[in-house]
Amino acid sequence: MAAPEPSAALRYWERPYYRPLRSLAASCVVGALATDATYVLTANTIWVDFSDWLLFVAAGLGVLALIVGLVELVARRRHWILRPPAISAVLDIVVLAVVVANNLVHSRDGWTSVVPWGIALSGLAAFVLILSEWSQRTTRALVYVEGVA
Amino acid sequence: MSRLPTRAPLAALLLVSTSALAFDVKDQIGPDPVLPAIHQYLLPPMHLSKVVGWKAGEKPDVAPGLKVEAFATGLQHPRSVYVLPNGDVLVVESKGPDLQPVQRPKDFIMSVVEKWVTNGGDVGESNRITLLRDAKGDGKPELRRTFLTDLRSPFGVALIGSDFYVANTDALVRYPYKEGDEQITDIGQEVLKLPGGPIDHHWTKSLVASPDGKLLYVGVGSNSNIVENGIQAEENRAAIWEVDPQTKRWRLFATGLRNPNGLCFEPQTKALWTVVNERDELGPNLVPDYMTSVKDGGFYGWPYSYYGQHLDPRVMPQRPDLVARAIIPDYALSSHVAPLGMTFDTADSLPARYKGGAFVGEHGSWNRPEFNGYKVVFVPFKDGKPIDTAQDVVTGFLNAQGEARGRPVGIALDKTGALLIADDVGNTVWRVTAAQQQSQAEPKTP
Repeated sequence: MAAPEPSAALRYWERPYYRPLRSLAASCVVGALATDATYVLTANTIWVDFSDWLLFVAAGLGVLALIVGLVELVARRRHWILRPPAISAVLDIVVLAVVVANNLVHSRDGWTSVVPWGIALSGLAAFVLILSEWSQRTTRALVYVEGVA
Repeated sequence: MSRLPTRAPLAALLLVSTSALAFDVKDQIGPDPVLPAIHQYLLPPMHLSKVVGWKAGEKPDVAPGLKVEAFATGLQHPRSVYVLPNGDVLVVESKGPDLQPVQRPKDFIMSVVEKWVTNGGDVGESNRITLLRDAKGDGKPELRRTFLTDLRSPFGVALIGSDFYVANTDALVRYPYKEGDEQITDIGQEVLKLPGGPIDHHWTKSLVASPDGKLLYVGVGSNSNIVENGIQAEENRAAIWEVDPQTKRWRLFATGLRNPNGLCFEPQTKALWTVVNERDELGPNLVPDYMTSVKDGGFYGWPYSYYGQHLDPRVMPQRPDLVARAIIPDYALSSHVAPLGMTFDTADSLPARYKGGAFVGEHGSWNRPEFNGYKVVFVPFKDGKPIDTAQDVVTGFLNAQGEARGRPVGIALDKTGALLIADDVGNTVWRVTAAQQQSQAEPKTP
């Protein structure tokens, strides 16, 4: 059976949404590490408020990305080549779990919402996120070479 | 930590052998409370009591030798009661200013939970004072008038001579009053701004006049649980202000009092006393709320430490210089009971066992798994110091299902010496008197 003809103009329900959602969530995870670090250096509580919002949005977008990702996994069976490797998906879910836990730690008041566990979890989430990115390098190369997306 | 309470070994055993739920709250009532280790939550417990109100004929339970009747019903969030020299009772009806902005996701989630539980409480115009006249002293007021309106979240009031002072949440205001007035129509004169918005976390401004009538004392609560809104938001807060209303000179009389309310003078020593709501989210049994005499220039710990030198790890940077001189409060009332009213029994009409001691209105907990407070307790005093453990005086504000029929706030003695209790979710003022028949019958019982 012939592969479907690639089209430059995908209709909106055909476009991949997992990647942009995941990227937005990932930016918030890295941002929270930066605002946590600033709080540790300054003890100015506004930076914890920033961290709280970044982690809150990261968790919300992360859950949304997970749902969209599962739907796309089923709906785009034919575009298997776009699929991230399983290890990356597992690492992404680890990041999401750490971010949800970190939301709870950050819901505490004052210094102990960040030191030691808040910033430790922010750092862990950012680190696992980097591992996940690194594990996808093969997929990226393929996509680039094939020009599918 | 250096101060080892006498009951600590027993409490430590209890904590080790059973869950924290088995903690005996009585170990935290008295001058030397057991202070367990800090436990910081992942999910702060929000255990609010659903408000159901009082059904017709329902009333709280009272200790033996007492009886209770509704003095006035259908009020709009009565928060405090004040008795004028001619015996007229003023009921301060007040709603919080609701100014606190959503600064972080937690504020948003907590406000949703609170609104969900305390629905039905918003029933009409508030922020006013209602006058009740019971000239016969039979507990059935013949006159009910709206005394003063258009106030801004008022709480404390005080009369000095012909000057009537109202502590709104953001200003101290003076009105002219003469004995027998049923209403004040004067627009009033602002004496002093008080710390109000834009956050205004603890908004109730308690007020009392000094016994010589020269000075006013104002309780100003903190702007956060534990400075999570920044230390800048706490300027001149968590303190008792001393105000000279004639010259408008004011100063901080005492500091480090997270949310001081129920200001009053102990009748024997003439010392200023207050009840204080201590910090949350260190565990169901930390930190005990307390009552204390207030020393001029005294620092009582908040936010840096509690009960003397017990450091709060959530505050950064710390202030060892202040912690070193933090005063240990006189008497713990147990954790999260939320005391908001206090008055001394200076009359002779209640049973003799209450003479000279303090009644405390405990609004009740919302952040520990088992409810605590929701009652009026009595603390016996001797020579100006609290002795013995607190006794329940008025209970039954929660029904058997743990739903709130009412919550006690401010309390006062009326001119007959009966105890008046403002119930801000039951929208009632209760009046507690001696059950005379019983006191006469007592000698006959074998």
